[in-house]
Amino acid sequence: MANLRTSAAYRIAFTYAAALAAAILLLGVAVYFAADAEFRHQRDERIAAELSDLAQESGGTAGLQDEIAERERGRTTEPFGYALFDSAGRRIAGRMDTTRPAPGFSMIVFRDPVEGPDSARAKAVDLPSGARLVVAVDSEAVEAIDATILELFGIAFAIVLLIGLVGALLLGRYLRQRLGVISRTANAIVAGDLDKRMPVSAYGDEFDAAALALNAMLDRIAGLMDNLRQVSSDVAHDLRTPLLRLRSQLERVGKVDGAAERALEQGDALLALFGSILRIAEVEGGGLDHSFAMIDLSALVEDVADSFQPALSDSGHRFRWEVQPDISVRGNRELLAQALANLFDNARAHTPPGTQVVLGLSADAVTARISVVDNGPGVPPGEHRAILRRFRRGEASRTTPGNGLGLSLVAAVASAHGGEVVVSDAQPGLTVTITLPRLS
Amino acid sequence: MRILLAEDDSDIASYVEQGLGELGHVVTRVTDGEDALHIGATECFEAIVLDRMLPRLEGLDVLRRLRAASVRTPVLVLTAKGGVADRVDGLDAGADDYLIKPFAMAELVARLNALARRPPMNEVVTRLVVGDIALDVLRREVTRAGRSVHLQPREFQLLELLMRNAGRAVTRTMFLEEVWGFHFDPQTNIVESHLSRMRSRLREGFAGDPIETIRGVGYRMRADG
Repeated sequence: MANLRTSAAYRIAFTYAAALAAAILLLGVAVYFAADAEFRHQRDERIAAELSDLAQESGGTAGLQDEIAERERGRTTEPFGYALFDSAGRRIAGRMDTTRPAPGFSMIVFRDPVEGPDSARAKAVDLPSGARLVVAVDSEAVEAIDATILELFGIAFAIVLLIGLVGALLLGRYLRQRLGVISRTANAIVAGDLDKRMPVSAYGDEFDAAALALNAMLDRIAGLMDNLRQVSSDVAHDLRTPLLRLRSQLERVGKVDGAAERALEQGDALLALFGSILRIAEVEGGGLDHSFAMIDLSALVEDVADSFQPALSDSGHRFRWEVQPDISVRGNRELLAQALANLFDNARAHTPPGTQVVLGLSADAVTARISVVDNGPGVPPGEHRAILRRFRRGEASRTTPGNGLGLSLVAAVASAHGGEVVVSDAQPGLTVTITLPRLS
Repeated sequence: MRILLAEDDSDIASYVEQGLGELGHVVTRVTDGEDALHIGATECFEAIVLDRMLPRLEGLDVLRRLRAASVRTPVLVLTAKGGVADRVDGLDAGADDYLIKPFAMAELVARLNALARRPPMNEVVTRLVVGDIALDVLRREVTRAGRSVHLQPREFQLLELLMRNAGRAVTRTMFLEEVWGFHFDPQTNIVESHLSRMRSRLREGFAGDPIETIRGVGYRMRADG
């Protein structure tokens, strides 16, 4: 119980229970006073009615004395007490044993034959004969009702307090349990169990939403760490070969003609390679969203196609495009252009002259689809997924220029835009499709 | 040309200083941001080469303060950061051009030449004439010796860029940036293929080619056409 004060769950639950109890208390007090006032008001009205009814009685003082005696005998439903005083203050009728009160409403004390002195509410009026007529009602009735109300509310308050307390304890325990699972999992992850994820219950409530969000975050972090590991290992392993080539060229400088130029070319190729690795890492690292804007994808695709048309024609490729107009996506123009350029670079470098290359852009309500289809030699189905990875090159393309990063960048760009790249068989040839989500 | 070079890496600074010196430029070299700001604001230069990462005062801050002090000298920012967002930051700060390290000397020289000779902002050139070739920017018309030459829109832009820099080299990346808006270099030489088409259209019925290829650097339009 020492943790009750430091637990937000208990604090919230208890505060809520206390607020509920306070509301009940407030309601009780208000009802008590309102009911009490109403009962007293009604009682006064009944006294006043009885008094004015009696005062109307004809027959002078004697008639009134008879009527009082008559009512004291007959009436049992309304426990009125009566007293008639003459002008000297002596009680000349009525059984109510009291002294003469002042005219109007007042509280009086009378002597009850059984219980002794008792308080009552009375109204007195002076009659034309000089006598003073008093009608009174014992206070006991109202007090009894008041006591009943108080008692009822006392019990209700106690029950609410009890329910609130138990509810608060249960709610607090539940909240602590649900949150405790999340903290324990987080601690386990901190301690090194990186694959652990927040458990998600079947309720689909706020805790599950939070757990899902945390899991998405953990997946993202894991992805970034993988990315970092991958880049480091790429740099370590795949850059050795070009560096060795550069070194051997440098050794030949001064001995073989053109060695210096070739060494420079090697250097430039290495720099381009570094540029590609860094660009992919940047795109995969995310955080490019702020550079995204609505762009006319149709115009962009057409623009890039138009830019590559002469070069593809020079290399003997037959190139045509079918672009559906007015397709817009949210994205980075430069990155999408580079992804497309890489697809054309690949189609040009990895297919023989005479190959037909067809670029298509189409869209439905939710997705824009860019496809580059060739009828060249294609890639064995087993390698379709692998060629999207860094430095992976199809077995058949080992001898053609390129660094095996082109499609990795395409994949990274597509994924940064919330889309994906699919490589499939065009029978014959290869189809590379980039899908991008469209904004509704 | 008087050039202010702000670069703290002594190897790169010597490389640039020597390269520009060989071409007859006078280079003033500073090694930190405060010196760059002080000298850049008090002395007169035709171009400033500013490294982004300078000690004492960052390159982009130097640039912002120079611009705030109404120094209009063209500034080329050098940087090791080639990210998508970095270039935008540099241009926002008031850079006229942006070159990512490492770079070839020829690239830097070509860009500095283009920057320094760029006409002032308020002077809009609508007609370019080099030798017997005339280009009307507004009407998108090209004539050679009075004869109309029909060019595709991209070819027109390529020729315009060459003519604005007549007599000086224009590199492949300059073409990619200015004509295509690409800040990457595709493996496919799209500049070459468009340029060769443009050149053959210009040559049709004429003996001479006004454009020459400079190996390893780019292309140049002969100042006499």
